[in-house]
Amino acid sequence: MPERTRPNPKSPHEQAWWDHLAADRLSLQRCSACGFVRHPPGPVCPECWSEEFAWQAMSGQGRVLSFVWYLKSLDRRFQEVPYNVALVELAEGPALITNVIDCAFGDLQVGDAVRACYAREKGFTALLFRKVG
Amino acid sequence: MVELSGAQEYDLVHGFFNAAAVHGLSWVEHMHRHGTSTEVLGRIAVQSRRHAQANPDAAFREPMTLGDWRDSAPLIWPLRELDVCKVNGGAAAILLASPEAARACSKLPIDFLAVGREATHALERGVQMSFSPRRRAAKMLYEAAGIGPPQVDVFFPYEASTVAAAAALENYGFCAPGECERFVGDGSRIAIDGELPVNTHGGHLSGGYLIGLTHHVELVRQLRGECGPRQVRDAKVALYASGGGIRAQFYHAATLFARGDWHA
Repeated sequence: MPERTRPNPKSPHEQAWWDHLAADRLSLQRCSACGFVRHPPGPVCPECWSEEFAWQAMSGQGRVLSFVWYLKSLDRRFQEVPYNVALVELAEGPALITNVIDCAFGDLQVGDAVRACYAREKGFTALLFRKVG
Repeated sequence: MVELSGAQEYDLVHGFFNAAAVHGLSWVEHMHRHGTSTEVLGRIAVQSRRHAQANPDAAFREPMTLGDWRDSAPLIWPLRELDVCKVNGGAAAILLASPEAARACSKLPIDFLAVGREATHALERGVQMSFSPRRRAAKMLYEAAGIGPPQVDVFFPYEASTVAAAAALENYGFCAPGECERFVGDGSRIAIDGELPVNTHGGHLSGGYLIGLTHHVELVRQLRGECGPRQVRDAKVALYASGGGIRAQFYHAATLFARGDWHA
């Protein structure tokens, strides 16, 4: 397993994201003024600059927009290759950088349906995805 | 254990780092959307090397074939080692001056015609990253200069990888979205004597990585007609285009330059 870098949240918004994940919840900030769902977490809506928002639970369903495979280790914390990094679009719209786990090199395609899962790491929980079906 | 803060940590938790990874994501999406292959990237790498071979200041000048590119080590799929620029030492400098001061110098001055720029928070909306068919920086630049892509004689895309050069061809209107592979073809169109010479010094890929500075040095030399065997005939207008960013924000900026005695 990779030695995932422990996040160091510097604001209550960032802390809330990791707290939700620790409770196996994928929640994002939804702007109360314009409805834009944003990530990464922050104090202001990047669309309309409103500071009003509410955390909204996502379904955890998504699809792969794109992906790459690291075939050579380029960092000591990620020595086990190959591993993929995927851009996953959630059913609710926003897209996230993540990993699709339990998936071999060659088995990932653009458009693949994926579902959120939660991995306990040292001191935090990481949001990962698995292929559906 | 390393601790991080800011947007980076949302990437590093997943082992997402290096500009080549962003370009890889962009290219996989491009291949899916437009049916392109990685071969065009190899053509760009080989053409960059050919140009570097004609440039005594270039960092990498040994011969390279398409086969060499294909056989180079897989790095971040779909990119290979020869798709990605290397880190190297070097130095370059540019002198900026007022038009009056520049015209008092012995050498022909090179004028800034226009600048275009934009920033976007891209990933969270799932939009294209390196590629953008509606590049606002390009629109701003061409409108300000009152010219278009056909007037550009030589093109200098900032390329951390071959993908960035391919993307710049589409983003700055030299070909339609999805058409970069057809445009590059066997590479002759982006050669010194081609329709649109690209990175005549070898770019970052083979010329050396000095974060765009050598692109500017070459651009000035081309517009002054100082490039000897790699001189683009009658070069009067040059375009430099850069793009960058990882994670929450992508930014693009481009600059048009012309010979001091040129008028649109």
